[in-house]
Amino acid sequence: MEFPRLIKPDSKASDIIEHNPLLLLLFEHLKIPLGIHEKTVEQLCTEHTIELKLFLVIANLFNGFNPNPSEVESLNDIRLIISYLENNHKHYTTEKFPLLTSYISEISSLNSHPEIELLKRFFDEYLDEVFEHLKYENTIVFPYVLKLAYQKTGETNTTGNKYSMADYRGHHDDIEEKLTDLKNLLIRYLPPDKDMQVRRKLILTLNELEFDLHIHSLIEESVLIPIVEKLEQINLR
Amino acid sequence: MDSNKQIIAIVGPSQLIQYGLTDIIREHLPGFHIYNFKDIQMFENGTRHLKPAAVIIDASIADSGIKAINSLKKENANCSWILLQYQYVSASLISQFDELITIEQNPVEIASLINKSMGKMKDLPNEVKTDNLSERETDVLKLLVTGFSAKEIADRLNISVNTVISHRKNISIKTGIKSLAGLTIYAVANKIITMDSLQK
Repeated sequence: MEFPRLIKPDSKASDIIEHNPLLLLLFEHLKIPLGIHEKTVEQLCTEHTIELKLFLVIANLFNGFNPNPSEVESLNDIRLIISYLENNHKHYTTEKFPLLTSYISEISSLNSHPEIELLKRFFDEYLDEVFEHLKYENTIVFPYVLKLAYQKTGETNTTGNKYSMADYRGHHDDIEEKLTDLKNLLIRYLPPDKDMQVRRKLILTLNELEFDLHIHSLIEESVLIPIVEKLEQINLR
Repeated sequence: MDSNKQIIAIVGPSQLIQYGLTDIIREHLPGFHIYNFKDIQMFENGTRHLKPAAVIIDASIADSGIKAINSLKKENANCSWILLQYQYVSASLISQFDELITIEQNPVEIASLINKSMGKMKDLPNEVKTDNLSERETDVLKLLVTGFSAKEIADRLNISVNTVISHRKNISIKTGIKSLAGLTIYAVANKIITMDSLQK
């Protein structure tokens, strides 16, 4: 197994992708197109006006390194964090979920056991929950964060908004839990039929989503929430 | 050697990490014997009979060793398998361990995670990690997925609500399914209930 994992400013961008291809999503969500030649991470960030520190924090989360709080506190571009998360949401709703839905309906056409109907219902309910959660973040959490971060000094919070980031912690557990259930059902319990191939595709897609959702909640929990809680404190003074 | 002392095994190639972890455990979790192994093979040869309470696996050997780890797990269900992470490890690999510690954590955190994880294991029934539910668990599951609340189940089976909750916990541990909707599918797939008994 190879070792060099911590991504640094002079790491070659193409190397880090080869090493952990899931980082492709990071490039996509930050809108850094491929065709990156031999450029380093720092060069790419400069070229696309992306805060280097932020890139490193998120990219290293993908590689299993949690940022230390002082690193997080020094981040400036909160807009970019939000835009990353929004793009991540779009990726779920326009690509991942439709793909999963199509696999599940394919399974139900190939597998005649009655449990498959229940699986479909389970997945539909899961999607409803996820959409509800995404909507909550898009319409309440993200605008709240942006307002807090970019309101002019001296401007008081006039919305009378009682919302606070404390309400938000731990919101993801359920979503990750059901995904694990789904995988377990597919691997361990659902009776087989002619659906082996598509079941494999579904499980692999679920794996990818599971990883991505995990990173997504890590970004929210170890980057976004600490930043916002600090802003809230400043705001109270 | 005091045979009542429990054993923690640390498996990994880095001496630096071995020493560090050993020190942390000695200081914060006194009363354990600590055994160090360079790789899983040596661990396999060395500790089978020792029945460690916890095994800490270095991330660099976790992926290649997962097969051996999974077969060792079956031999000692009460052992807690802990992953030490300091490099990228896939979520699916992480999920095969009982606990995760990382080198960013401070010694107190690491020690308390190890301790917590061993405590969890002790509470588990012996047949853990098989999905053979006991008769009582099957009764609880049946009622649970047909829409009864914990209170109603307790009344019906003449047990306390706490017992119902602990059955429910064990059902989830054994099956790997946590949500009610997921357990319903499990129950149908295992012929514990029929589709007809599900309303809606």
